[in-house]
Amino acid sequence: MINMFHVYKNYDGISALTDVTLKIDKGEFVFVTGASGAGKSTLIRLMFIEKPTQGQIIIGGKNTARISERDIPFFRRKIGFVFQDFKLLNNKTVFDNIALALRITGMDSHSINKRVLKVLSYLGLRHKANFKPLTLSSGEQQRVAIARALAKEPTILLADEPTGNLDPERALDIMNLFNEISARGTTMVVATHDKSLIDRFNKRTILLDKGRVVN
Amino acid sequence: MFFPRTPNCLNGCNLNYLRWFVHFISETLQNIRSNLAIFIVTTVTIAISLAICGLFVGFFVNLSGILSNMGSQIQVVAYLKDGLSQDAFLNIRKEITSMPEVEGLEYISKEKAFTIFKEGLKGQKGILEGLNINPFPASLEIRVKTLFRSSQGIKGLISKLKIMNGVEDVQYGQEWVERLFVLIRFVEGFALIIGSFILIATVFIVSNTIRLSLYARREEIEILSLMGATNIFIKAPFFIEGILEGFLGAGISIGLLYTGRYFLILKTPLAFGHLVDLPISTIYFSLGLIAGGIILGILGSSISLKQKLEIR
Repeated sequence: MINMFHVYKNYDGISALTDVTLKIDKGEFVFVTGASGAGKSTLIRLMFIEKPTQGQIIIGGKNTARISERDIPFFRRKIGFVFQDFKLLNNKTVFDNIALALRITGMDSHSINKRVLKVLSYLGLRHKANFKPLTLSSGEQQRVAIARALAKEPTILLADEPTGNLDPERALDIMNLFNEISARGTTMVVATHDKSLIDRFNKRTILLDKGRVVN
Repeated sequence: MFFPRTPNCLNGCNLNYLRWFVHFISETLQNIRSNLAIFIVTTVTIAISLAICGLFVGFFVNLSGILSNMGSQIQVVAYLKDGLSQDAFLNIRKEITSMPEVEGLEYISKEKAFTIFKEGLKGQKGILEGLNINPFPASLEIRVKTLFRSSQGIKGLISKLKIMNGVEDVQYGQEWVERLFVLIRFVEGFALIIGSFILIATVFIVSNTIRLSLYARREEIEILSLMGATNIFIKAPFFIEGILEGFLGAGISIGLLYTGRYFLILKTPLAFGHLVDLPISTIYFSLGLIAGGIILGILGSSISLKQKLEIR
């Protein structure tokens, strides 16, 4: 599902990733870990936001280095993302935050309503549909972000420090949720520095150090 | 295929441009509500700029009308030799009438010229006592076509008239006409420079206020971009906002201009009334302002939206 071949990424001449080669299979759950500045977030960003400085990245059979600017939005619609800071629109309700992800694709209102309510029910957030994000707890906000990602029914779900703002109990809840999502066939890539969470789930772990894969 | 190009949506969806349009309008209204201050500042800026432009156009059109009216009074007078035969006179008249520069002409006989002169003297007719002969020559007062109402056009006509048999002398208010032409050219140049300056300044202000609005919503733009929204989807509400600001700004400027014009006409002595009255149709003038406002809004938003949407 995700293949990287000798990937390099530089920012203003400073190397963030060096000669990264890896393969993640369809439906696999993979942790990406390492110290701060090791390149975890860069690795995630290369999977759907940025292009590599050098090397090839094949995602779902598509070479991201060769995707035209025009095709990038359509590429991103198949990938779900979850960030540490949730990236929710605070002036919209929980329902509208999730619905927007579907509206941009041109889906009709009836299908949007159905899909949003289904995903809210799945995450136990249906009663919060009309709430604004800032009135929710951090754990709930992250669940909304996950609901938004899942609403698109993505084949890949990327998470960059998804538990960074959560207490250990909520963090465990979110990880259990990811595990469940992965079990349903979605490829999961989770970047985290939380060793206790990694140890708890017996999943393949990619360890980064100074921009290089060390395991 | 894993990432299909078409349809440009997820499974089970049906592209519907009307639905997107409704979404854009609703997003635009939401943007305006969230950034009301910026929206008001931009609209008022457009209104003031258009009002200045409108005032300027009104002033220029009036002035240009007055100048062109003065231009239409330009006459070339060809004085005829005394004792010209009827045939010779008719030939001269025919020849002059057929000249491309000539719009029309009027024959002033010796007697008529004398009568006009006497009428001009009014109460001082006494000074003509003892004058037993008519010293005035017969003349042809020639009106010049608009196309030839230039210094060179008139000079060309005069040189042709001067070499005609039977024409004694040719006169026209040379100095006055040349000054008028210089004045017209100056007013046109001045209008062009000031008008362009006002337009460029307005586009600059509008594009910067819209950029402010973009900056205030950069997080939302980033999130939309991450979710796979196309540039058109992200930018359309800003574009519509620009058009709306232009339209409303034009409406306010029309209100300002007509209110101002109404009071000016009331307060201005009748003799100068035409100076504040628009010689062009008020409907066309208003439509022009609205079109100008919308174009300003479109230009302003296009310039600020040209920048690439970046994800931090």
